[in-house]
Amino acid sequence: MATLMKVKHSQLEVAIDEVFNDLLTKTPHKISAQGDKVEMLASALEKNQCYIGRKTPRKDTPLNYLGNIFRIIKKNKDCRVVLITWLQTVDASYCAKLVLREKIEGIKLLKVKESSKHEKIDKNQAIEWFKEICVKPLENSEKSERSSLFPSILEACKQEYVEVNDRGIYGEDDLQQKLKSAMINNVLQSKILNECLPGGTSWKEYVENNKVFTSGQPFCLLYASDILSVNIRVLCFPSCEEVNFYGEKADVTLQLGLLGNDSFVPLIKVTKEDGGQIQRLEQTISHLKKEIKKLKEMKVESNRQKQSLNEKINKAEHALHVKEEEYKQIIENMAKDAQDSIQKVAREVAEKVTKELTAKFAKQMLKNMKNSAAPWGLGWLYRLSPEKQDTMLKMMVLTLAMVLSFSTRLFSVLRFESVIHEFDPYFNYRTTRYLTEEGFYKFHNWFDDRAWYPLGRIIGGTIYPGLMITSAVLYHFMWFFNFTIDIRNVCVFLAPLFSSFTTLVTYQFTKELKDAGAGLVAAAMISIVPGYISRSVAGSYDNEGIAIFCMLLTYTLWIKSVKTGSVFWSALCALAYFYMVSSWGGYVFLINLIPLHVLALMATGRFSHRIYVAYSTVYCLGTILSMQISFVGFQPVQSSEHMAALGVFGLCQIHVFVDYVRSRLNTEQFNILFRSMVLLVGILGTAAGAVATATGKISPWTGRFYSLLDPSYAKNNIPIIASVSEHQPTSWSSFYFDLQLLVFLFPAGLYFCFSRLTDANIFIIMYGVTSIYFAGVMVRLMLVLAPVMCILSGIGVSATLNTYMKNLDVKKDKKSKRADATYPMKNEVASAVVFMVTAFLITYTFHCTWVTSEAYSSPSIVLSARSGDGGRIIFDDFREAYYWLRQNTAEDAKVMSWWDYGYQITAMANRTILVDNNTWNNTHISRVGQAMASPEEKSYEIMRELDVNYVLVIFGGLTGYSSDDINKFLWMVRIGGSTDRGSHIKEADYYTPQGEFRIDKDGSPTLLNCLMYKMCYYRFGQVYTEGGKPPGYDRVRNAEIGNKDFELDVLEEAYTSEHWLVRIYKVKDLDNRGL
Amino acid sequence: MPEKLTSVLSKFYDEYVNNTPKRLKLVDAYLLYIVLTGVFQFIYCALVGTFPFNSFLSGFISSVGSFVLAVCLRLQVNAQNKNEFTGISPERAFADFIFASVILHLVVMNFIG
Repeated sequence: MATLMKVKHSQLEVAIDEVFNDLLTKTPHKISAQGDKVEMLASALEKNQCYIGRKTPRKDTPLNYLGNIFRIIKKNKDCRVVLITWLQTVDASYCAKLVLREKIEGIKLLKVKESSKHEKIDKNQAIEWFKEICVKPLENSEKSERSSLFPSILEACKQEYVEVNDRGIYGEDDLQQKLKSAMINNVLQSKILNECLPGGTSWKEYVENNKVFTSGQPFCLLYASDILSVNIRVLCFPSCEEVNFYGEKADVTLQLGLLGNDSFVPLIKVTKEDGGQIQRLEQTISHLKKEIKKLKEMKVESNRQKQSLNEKINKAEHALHVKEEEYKQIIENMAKDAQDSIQKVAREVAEKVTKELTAKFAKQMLKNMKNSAAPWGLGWLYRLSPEKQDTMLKMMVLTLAMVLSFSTRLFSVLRFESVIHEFDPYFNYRTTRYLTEEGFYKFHNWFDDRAWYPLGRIIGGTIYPGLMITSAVLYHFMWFFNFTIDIRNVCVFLAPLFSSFTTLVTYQFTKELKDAGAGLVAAAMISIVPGYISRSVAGSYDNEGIAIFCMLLTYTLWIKSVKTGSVFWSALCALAYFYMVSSWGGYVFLINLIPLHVLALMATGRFSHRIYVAYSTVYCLGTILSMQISFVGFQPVQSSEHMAALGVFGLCQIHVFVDYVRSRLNTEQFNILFRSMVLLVGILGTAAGAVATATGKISPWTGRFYSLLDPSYAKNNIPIIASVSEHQPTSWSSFYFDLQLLVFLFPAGLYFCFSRLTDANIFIIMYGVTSIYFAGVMVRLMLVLAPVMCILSGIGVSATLNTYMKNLDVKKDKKSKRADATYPMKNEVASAVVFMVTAFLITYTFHCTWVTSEAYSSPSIVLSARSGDGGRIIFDDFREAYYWLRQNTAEDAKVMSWWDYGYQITAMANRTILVDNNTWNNTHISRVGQAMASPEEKSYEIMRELDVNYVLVIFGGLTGYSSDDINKFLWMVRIGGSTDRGSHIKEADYYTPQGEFRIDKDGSPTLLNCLMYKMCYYRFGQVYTEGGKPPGYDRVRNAEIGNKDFELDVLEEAYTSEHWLVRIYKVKDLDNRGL
Repeated sequence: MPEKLTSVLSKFYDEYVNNTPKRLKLVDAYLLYIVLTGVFQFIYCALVGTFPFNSFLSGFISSVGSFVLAVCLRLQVNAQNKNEFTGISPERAFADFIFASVILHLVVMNFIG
């Protein structure tokens, strides 16, 4: 009966089965209640049976009982584990602290150092240790010292090994009291404790010799456990006697069960009545046995009465048999009950787990719905294990988000064709093509004579090559596998591809910051956020498309290295940073943000060696790696934008060194050393700084950087920077337009980050706050803001849903509703919140799709408009004109246009141009501006000087295309007038006396006679553009032009495209002098 | 003050000599060597000039980088910091150190010209 089995914790169910198989198959327990207890016990144990001495219930009964159990375990080599819980006298937590072992030989003890950390020690170590604390003082001291063991144990308690107060013993007195009473009551037969005793004496002897205590149970072992701080996991099955032990007289209920890691699962409960019944039966049995014995003796004495006595014996034996059957029946019933309850518990646990999983599943489905993913085919999902379901769902959500982020960017391809957009992408496309055709070395040394005539441009050294190399690698990769994809298609679809990757990285990043749930929300959000889509639609082949991916990758790896403090992750972070540097000038933001994070950690006292490892490695490797990009060159060690990183690097070294010194010295010594160090370093630092500034090693602050810090700087000082529309300050409406819901969720996410501050959270807070500032300064940097908005919103949404999903009461449980009086309408509130969040997310999806489709999917190289009858008209004038140039002009013709169209002309017309979108040479652009803004004769001089053959202007007056050269003209005037040679051009001359910019009759004569005006409106005076208006009516400016009939002296019209969007003029040669 | 300073320094030195494991002392010796290399390069550049700048930079950053990586190794190997670097055994730390050093020196070789 008392079969005690080893229960492996992780295999709870298996163990239960084993126990019950054993319980039901093995020989029932034999009752041996008389005679020498120890002998009986020994023999019982030899037969693999259990013996428990019968005791009169006393005050400390349960503890005595425990002692017995220990003894059993000690003797019985096969029994492994025991668990008992006394509900009344000893609480479960107390039991959990009892010592135990698997076998007496292989005792496993857990030494508790701190309240939560467990460390295994082996048996020998434990014995040695116990000897040390308990016995050594004994050997030295007087033997008659009664309580000499106590102080030594107490001493041990004071040492680091034990936390007395945590274990239900309050103060030394309490412990001493308990120990004393324990010693009084115990016959300490524990092997361990015996080994602790001096000179082979037993505890009994020891106690007697010391005239301390005489009888009782190995109680001390109980406390030894406390002192050894051991956890136990025990399963116990009582013998009938044990059950009996808690019979009528004992005022307790015995509850038996399994003690798990953190919960007690009751299996069987023995009440007073059960105990009483068993006791009575047992008494009857023993009584009958006695009687049989007596009668048998009588039989031997008197053969005469043999017959009748035999009868009596038979009768009695029969009675015994009946009673024993009854007894067996009860025990079996109890075992069956236990089995049933085990099954019930198992079922309940399974149900509970399923319920939890269902709730979790429903939550994730909600996220799924946001991605408009229909939750079909759930049946097979349920059949998977919970972990698999979890992974499956995550993967599904992520895959959907990735597919969505790719496909939502394809509007322009579907509406128009697979074509490169806008201006810069044409240059990138051209360089990529060069790279794939000519190879990396030629690309690296490429001097481009087709741009910036007559200066030329060293392309290899003045671009970020990451984008081109990425697409070239992709291209060759595809070709290697015989996918003969065109390089143009690689370029067109690169940005959507990388935004899919960004989705993945965002998930990883947010997961590092908070959890997988928030990661999924953030990933879903970033896949469709318009602020990012605006720069990464198919065809928008620009640096930013991959730079955001690189940036988030770097951040993810940075957070990873901060969390682990591993050099490996930091090195990977540096490599990601290198990729980032190679692809976008915005890396400066990154190399300032990371030091800022480190600085913030230092300021808040969170600086640790992990941070040091992460930052130092990233900085060192990252700096030298970034210098490999020839466009970056030596900037990381010279320019002011990178100095913050260098400074923080130095600070890190100092911080760690100071920490090291401080750990080695006491405060006073440290202060002396610290003061002298500060003095020395201060002097050296000032001197070095002065020398560096004096010799010009620290380059002056560049304009772009100033314009980041001071929004008005660029506008006031550098017209070329201010003229670019994407360098304008962001308006509030565009925040909403680009981010919609995220604007409101962002503070919520910040709140959740603040509420549980970690090293990683501080990073995202810094990132959020700085990027929101920079996005306010420049529209372009909205791109940097969008990811962090998504991440923080993801955290916000996930945390909100986590809070309220729990309160959602799926079943209408009235009881719990009534019970929760402090939170009325719990379920309703939760439903409302969840519903609201869902609604918001859905509107977000619609908004994003609408914005993408309406605002960000026009290639701007091909224009479309609605005609009067609702049909779509396509204006393909740009390409028409560029192809005309390509086919009809001399190979080496030089084309002058405003710099916006430079890249497109070189890429599509393959002709030499004067200025392009690189805008590296302000005077050259200024010269072109002067040519455009001057009257014909003056312009002719400039054009001769620049060796111009053709002039190209963009004119929207006929179609109503508003971003044409007349609208850009004021910038040409400003930039033209900003240099010395253009001093004759004054902005004020181009306005009317009232300060207006007009092209009609009231316009200033300077404007009406400048070259740009004439080129745009040449022959326009005869054209009817809109019904009911006079000829020469400009549909963009809504005015009739002021200068209609004029001829061009130095130019002749070479080509005008179908809708007059592009007009090309040929510069006449000098007059033939002979005529 | 100066006597105090020297006494503090000597105490610090004693403390160091007595209480630092041999393994860490080995790393420290390496660190000292790198510092000397770096200082030598710096003096050289101060006397002779930084041209060619990329060579000087790669040399100097190689010193700084090796120093920093070795300090990282030292921090991770140090038994006192065990709690901070959970899951990083000394062997792992050394492997990481080699990994990062290989990257560093490949780049340095590329940059030195």
